[in-house]
Amino acid sequence: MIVPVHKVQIVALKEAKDALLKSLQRVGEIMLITPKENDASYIDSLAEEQLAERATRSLALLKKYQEKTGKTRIEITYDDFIKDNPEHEALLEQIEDCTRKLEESRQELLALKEKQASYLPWEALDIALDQLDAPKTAVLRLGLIPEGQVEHVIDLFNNTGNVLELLGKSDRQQAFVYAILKEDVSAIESELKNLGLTEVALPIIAKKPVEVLEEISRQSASLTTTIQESEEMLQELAKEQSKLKLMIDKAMSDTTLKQAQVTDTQATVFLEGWVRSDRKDRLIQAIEAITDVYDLAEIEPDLGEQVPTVTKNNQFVDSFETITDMFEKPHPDEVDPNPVMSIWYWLIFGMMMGDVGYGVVMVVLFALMIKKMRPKGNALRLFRVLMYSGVSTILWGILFGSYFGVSWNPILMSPMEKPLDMLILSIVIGACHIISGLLVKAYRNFRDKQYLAIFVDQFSWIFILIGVGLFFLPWGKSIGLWLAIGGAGLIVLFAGRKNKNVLARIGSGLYSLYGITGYLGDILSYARILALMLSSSVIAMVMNMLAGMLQSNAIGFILSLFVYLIGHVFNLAMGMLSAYIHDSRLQYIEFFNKFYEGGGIPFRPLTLQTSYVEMIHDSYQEN
Amino acid sequence: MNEGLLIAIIGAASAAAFGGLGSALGVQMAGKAATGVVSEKPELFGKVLILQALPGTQGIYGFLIAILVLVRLGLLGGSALPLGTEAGWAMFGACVPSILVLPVSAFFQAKMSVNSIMMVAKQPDSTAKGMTMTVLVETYAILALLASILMIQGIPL
Repeated sequence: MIVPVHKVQIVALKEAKDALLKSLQRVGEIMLITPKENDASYIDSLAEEQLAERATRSLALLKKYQEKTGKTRIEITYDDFIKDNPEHEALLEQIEDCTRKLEESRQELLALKEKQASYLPWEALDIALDQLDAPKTAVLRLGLIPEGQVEHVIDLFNNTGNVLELLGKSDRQQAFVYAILKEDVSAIESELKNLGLTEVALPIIAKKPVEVLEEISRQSASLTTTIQESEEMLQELAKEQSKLKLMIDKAMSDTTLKQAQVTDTQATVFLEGWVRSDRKDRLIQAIEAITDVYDLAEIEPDLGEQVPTVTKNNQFVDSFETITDMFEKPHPDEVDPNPVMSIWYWLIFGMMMGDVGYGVVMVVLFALMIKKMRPKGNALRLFRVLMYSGVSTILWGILFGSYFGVSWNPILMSPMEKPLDMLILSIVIGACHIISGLLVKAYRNFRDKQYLAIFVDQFSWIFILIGVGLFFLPWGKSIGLWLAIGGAGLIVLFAGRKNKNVLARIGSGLYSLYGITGYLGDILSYARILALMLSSSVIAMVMNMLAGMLQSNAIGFILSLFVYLIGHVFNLAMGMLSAYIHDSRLQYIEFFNKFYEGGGIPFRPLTLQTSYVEMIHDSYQEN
Repeated sequence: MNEGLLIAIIGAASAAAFGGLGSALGVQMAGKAATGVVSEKPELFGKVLILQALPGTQGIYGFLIAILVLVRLGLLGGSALPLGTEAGWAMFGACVPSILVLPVSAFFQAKMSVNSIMMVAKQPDSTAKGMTMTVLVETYAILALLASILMIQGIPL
């Protein structure tokens, strides 16, 4: 059901402002309204936001170094949570230093590797590099030549009486040092260029290449140790990541608190907001915990001001709200669609999957995931939807006699053998689904005292749908026919009742009757239940058959287990995805368009941001 | 093997082949858009993955048709029924709606998928809307599939 939401104004003394806001945040019951005449007061929450961002980044970096990926929440009391803890910031800085050092060392090591590669071909050169300039009558140079040209180069030098010495190799190039008499330089070098020479100039220093290389390997050894040390350090620090998580939640909470929009006067603080009508006492309690000097007044919303939507349902229905909310939240004035929708969603999901084995896997899997991962909000709701739908999958599986794709004792029918019966069942389910949607709308009209509309706009269609259905039963032919004609008559006579002119009224009524094509399309659309059910059971059957073919000997038997496992996991995943999507679609398009308005905005109270922590021993918190 | 059986198998094979081709193409198109979005916003992976998977169902439907034909013909775990040429053509005809509609619907659904992925990149909250609009294209694949299933089951052999 939809809980009424009231607009309240709170006035309190200015000195109580910070404590009051904190208390309101702790109780999480008021959604603040941004003041209209906001004097553009500059909100400085930059420091908190940056802190949250830094901590988030560090946490992401630490992920690599943590040993096991536990997703359990950190349990903490409110007082411990809200306390500023300098230790945490020190930890953050330590992690940041460490990662910076690690990154720098890695960069340096990379640069060293490049340097090493450039010196390696010259390792055999047995003179210091600054000696290359020493000869007076000749030039002494280093060069690289493509491997294929080496023989030509050697010939060239031998023929002209100049000297060269081959050194190491680098990337299909031969490194060599050569000496040319000064008078021959230009001639020989142009010849060498034709052969593909690359001249190399190493820095002029008083060291042999081999010495430089030794120095490099010393440096890189020390860098490697630094890297190792940093990584070990990070591994150590990763054990403390719960502190980082705490910090993130704290910083995010502080950010929202800073951004809370209130109006200050000289001596008072004034705030407006939405509060659930059933939780007003909790709000008052939170204020009175801080100050006795306050005023709380309930006021009417402004004209055209959108009231946020709050729904309150039992756990089953509440889980399915996530499906509706993904489409649109209900409007606060309408009937909550979730109680009816949840049952249909559950039923149709089970029909689409329709296998006892898969149902059991779904229930166990999602129950375990809820227990281990302790998700919150919409993730928790979705997991619950899938867990509950697993139960419905089991029930339909028993009716269809399907156990991991093996057919055994179907109670109702085996859809593989009698697809036509299954098609009829799907369509009957669809018609009931649509009728229930019309009934919700009828209830809304009843609530709004639109009694004629109930008969004309909803019951008429229900009569037609039921009438057409009865028409196909052996005993219901004439009843069905008259029921459908009655419904059609209601529509033709009254649907156009807004028109004064009788002819225009009948015309408009006839046009409304044309809407029957829409109903036809909607109901046929439920045939997808059959299609999805068949495709998942056929694939399960094929997987069983493939595995069965392998089971002729021991190795085959082991292989067949893999085929079972992979095949059924794949089929289950695809089946769940399809069922989730197509079931949602049936709700959104076929069901909701019969009555649903939507367009509600979510109720987002000022509250603590807890992605990683869980408050314990806090009388204010619930759920 | 007689001619009827041959014709029927060509129909079944084409349904599986064309459905698979369409879906492979479609999932690849949607996947390219999805990788682009994920490279910028890795947190949207779960949402765009669902949208990417949408054009993949046609391949499964094609496969489903092929299996149903094989079961009907007694080629899976039984002895093949003797099939007249006319019955073979009838079986082929039953596959035609799937052969034609599945790849086309996968292709166009993929185009819708790509657009929805782009929409989700800008407005992550509208995933359900994008999903629903994309699934609308699949309706016709499902109708073609149903027509094929009913014919395969109904043809007297």
